[in-house]
Amino acid sequence: MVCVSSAAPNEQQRDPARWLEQHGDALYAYALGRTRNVATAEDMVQETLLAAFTSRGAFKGDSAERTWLIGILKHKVIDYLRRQWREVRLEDEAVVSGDIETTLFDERGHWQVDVRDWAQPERALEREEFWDALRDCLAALPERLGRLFMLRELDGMETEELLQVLNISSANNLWVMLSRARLRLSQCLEGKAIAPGV
Amino acid sequence: MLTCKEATRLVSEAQDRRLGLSDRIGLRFHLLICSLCRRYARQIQFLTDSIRGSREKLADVPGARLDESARARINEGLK
Repeated sequence: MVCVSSAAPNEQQRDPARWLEQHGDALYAYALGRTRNVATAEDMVQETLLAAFTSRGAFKGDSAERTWLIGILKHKVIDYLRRQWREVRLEDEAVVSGDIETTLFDERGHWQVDVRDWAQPERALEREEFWDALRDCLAALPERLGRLFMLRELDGMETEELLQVLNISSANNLWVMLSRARLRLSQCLEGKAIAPGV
Repeated sequence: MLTCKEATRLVSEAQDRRLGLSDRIGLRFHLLICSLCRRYARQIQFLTDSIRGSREKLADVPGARLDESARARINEGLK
């Protein structure tokens, strides 16, 4: 059904096979980073190209083709993360994530570890090792926390949207989880020799 | 008087919403007297700024490429 006649230049410009050729790797990198699953990411690339072909009439050419395709893929990724989120058992979160506060604070709520001063952290931004370390630390977050944090910081979702997409009932719970993700990130980066200022 | 545990919560929450007045005052006061939380607050602000400033770089898997067999499979599915 997706046989596009080479005689119709307008149609040919919207040929999924060409999209795959030109944007396949970019779509794949986007999907893989967010789903962390090769097979899922590959499937999403295919679904995206099919969906794009079906709705190709809606592409007005007022945005870059890749931006348009990524926009379609983004919806698929969010649907996937939403399903995943509900499938992972809730109690895992309490066990896996609650412990970070017990590790870092004593029973009176005071730090029981040192927090280092990251002197001139901006300098780290220019070092590729810093970004590798940050990627590693993001990947090391417990699954649910990691997904939540990605949606918050990398996809820029605000509280209301997160509550709705992930079907979380309380904003307070959401903020607690995000705080735990940040505590973990800070700790993880402190454990890396590449931490800013080191 | 906030504990450090509570203060770190607020440091994080401030990245996600605008804190209410009493929280802001409480946090500011705690940071004045607690150097560890001050460091933590700087770390988190730095992390938030770095991450939000480099979303693509972090979210996408750098250099990820579809291999030939995946391409062939996807192409097949497009027909």
